[in-house]
Amino acid sequence: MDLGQLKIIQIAQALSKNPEVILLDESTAYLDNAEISALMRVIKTLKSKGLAIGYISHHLDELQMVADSLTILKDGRKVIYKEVHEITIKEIEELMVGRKNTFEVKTKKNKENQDIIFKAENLKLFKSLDNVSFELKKGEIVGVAGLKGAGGEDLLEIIIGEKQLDSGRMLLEGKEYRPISPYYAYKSGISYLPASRQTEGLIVEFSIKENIIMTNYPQKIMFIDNDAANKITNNFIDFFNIKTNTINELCTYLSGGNMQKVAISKSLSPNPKVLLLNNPTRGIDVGARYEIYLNIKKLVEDGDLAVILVSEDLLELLNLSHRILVFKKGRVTKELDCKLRPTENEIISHMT
Amino acid sequence: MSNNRSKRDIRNIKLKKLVPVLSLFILCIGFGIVQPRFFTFSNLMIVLQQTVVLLSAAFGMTFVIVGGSIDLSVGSILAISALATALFSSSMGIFSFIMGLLAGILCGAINGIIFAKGKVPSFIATMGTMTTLRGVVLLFTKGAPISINNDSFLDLFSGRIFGIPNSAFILLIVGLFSYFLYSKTVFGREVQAIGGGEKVARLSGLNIEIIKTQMFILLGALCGIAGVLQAARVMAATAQLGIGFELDVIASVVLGGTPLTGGFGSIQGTILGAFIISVLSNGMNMLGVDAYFQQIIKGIVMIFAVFITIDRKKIGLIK
Repeated sequence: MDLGQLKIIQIAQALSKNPEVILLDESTAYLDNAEISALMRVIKTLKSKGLAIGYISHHLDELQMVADSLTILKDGRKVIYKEVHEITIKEIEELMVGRKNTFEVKTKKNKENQDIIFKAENLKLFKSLDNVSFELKKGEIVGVAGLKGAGGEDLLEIIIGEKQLDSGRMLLEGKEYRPISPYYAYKSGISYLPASRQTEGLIVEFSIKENIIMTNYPQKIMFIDNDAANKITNNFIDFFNIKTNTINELCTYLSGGNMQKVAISKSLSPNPKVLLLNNPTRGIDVGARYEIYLNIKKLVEDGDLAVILVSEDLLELLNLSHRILVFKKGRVTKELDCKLRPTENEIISHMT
Repeated sequence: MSNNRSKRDIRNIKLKKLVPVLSLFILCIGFGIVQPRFFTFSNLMIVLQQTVVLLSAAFGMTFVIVGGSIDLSVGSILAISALATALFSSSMGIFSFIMGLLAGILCGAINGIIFAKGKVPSFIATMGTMTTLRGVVLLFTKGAPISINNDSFLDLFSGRIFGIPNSAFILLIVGLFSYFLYSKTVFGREVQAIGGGEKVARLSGLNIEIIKTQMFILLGALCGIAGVLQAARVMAATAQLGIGFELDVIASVVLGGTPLTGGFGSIQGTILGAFIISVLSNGMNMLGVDAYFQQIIKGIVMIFAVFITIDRKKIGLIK
C-alpha cells in the first residue's frame, strides 16, 4: 500500500473506537485531492454529531474549510487564538512566520540556450510508465504533476536506480545512463530526496552531521575527514537556516521543517548535477517551505543544478517549475510552459 | 527544536553506557571477596588468555551486529581456521597462521556473498554455513585431533613475555585496528548507516552489497585469527573446537551495549562485554559452580543484556 492508503487506514482506525475527542495531526499530508475532500466531509459529519476535533495542519485552506477556531503556535509559544472567520490565510501565514509578505512568488529567471543534461526516451515500466520522454536542461526545474500512482514517483525511482526499466533509455550528458542501483546514480551525479523524511530520507537516530555527510563521506585515504565534515554541515545549516544548537543534534529532536532541510542538505552534499525531489515540502510549515523554495531556486539560478520536482502540491509546482509535465496513468498528457502562467485548474484538467 | 531532548532521554543513554562498566566492576569485586585467589597475577593472566580468542571474534561481530546482521557460524569458522593452521604448521612453521587467516577470510566471503548477493537473511545463511563448515572440519579430522608440534609456532602464538601471553599483544593490534576501522573510517560509518536504516543508506548511494560482504569478510578474518590463537593454545585442531562459541561472541557484543537491532555500538563496549563473559566463567569455575548451572547463568545474562539494549521501535526488523 502507498503512504496515502496507510494514512486513511490510520484515520479509520481512530474513528472505529467511537471517540468523543479526536486529534488529527497532519492527517492529509499523504492524501491526494479526492481523499482530502472525502476526509473533510467526514470531519464535518462528525462535527455535527457533537465530536470535538483537534486538527493540526500546514494546509491553511483546510483549516478554513473545517475549523471553527484556531490557535497559532510558533517556536513552542501560543501566538494567537481566534475564530476562523476573523482571520485571513495571509494573516495566518504572517503570524506563523513572524514577518510580512513572505509568500510572494518571484518571477523565474529563464536561462536561454542551456545544454541538455538529462534525456529520457520512451521509458516504459510495467503498469506505471508508458512511453515517457522528456528533456532536462542545466539550470532548469521540471515539475511533474499527477495523481498518486500516475507515475511521477516511479519515474524518480527509475532515474535513481531503485527500479529498473522494462524498455526505453536514458542519457546523462549525452552518454547512455543505466543505473543498476542508487550507488551508481550518485556516482554519476544524480541525487534523490525520497518522499518520507522519517523512513527513507534520514536515519533519525543519527545526528545532523552523520546524515548530511552520508551521501558523500569526506575522506582522506579511507579515513573520515572530520574538519571537512563539520565544515560541510555548518555550511548547510547556514544555507538553509536549520535551527539547532549543535551539528551533533540527533535528527529525531528536530521539527519537521528542520528535519526536511537536513534531508535536502543531504541530497545536495555530493554536489549533484541533477537533483530529484519527491514532495520536498510535505507536511512542513510555511516558513521552512519558503526557505526551501528560495534556496532551491538559488541553486538552480546561480549554479547549474537541474531539478526534477514531483509534487502533489500544485502551487509548489507552479512556484518553482520552468516547465510542468502532467502525468496521467503513466503517460505524459501535457507539457506546460510556466512562462505562459498556467493555472491550477489547467493542471488538474490534464491530470484527471 | 534542539532543546526538545528531554533530561530523561539523556539519563537513559548515560545509564546504558554505565551498565557494562558497572557489571564488570561488581563481578570482579564479588569474585575477589569470595575467592581472594581471583586477583592473583596468574589468574588474571588466565582470564586475559581466555578473553583473547573471544574478543578477536567479538570485534568482528561488533561490525556485523552494528550493520544489522548476525553471524552464527563464528565457531565453525574458528574450527576451520584452526584446522588450516594445524595442517600447515609442520611445513610452514609460524607462517601457517596465514593459512588460518585465509581460511577465515574465505568462509567470511562465502557468508557475505550468500547474504548480500543471494539476499538470504543472515540468521539463516550463517546457520547453514555453521553446520556446513562444521561438517567440513569433521570430514578432515575424522573426529581425531590434528596436533601442532612446531615449537616456533607455539612459542610465538602461545608463549609469554614477562608472564604476559603473546596473544595479548596480538589482540592489542587487532583491537586498535578494529577501533580505528569502526570509528574513524568511511567503512565504519557505512556499516553504522546500513544498520541504522538500510533503505536510507541505499537511497543515499551506499554500495550495500559490497559493504555487507566486506563486513562478513572482516569477521571471517578476525575469526581466523581467533582460530590460530585457539589452535596454539590447545596445541591442536579438534572437531569440537568452537562449539557454542557464537553464543559467547554475540553475548560479548550485546553486553558491551551494542543493540542487536544495529546502527549503534562501540568497540570499547565489546571489550568490556568479552571480559564480563570470561570473568563470569573464570569466577564460577573457581567457585566450583557446576558446569550445567553455568550454562543456565550464561543464558540468563545474555537475555538480560538483549533486554536492556534492544531498540524496540525496530523490533520488526530483527533477523
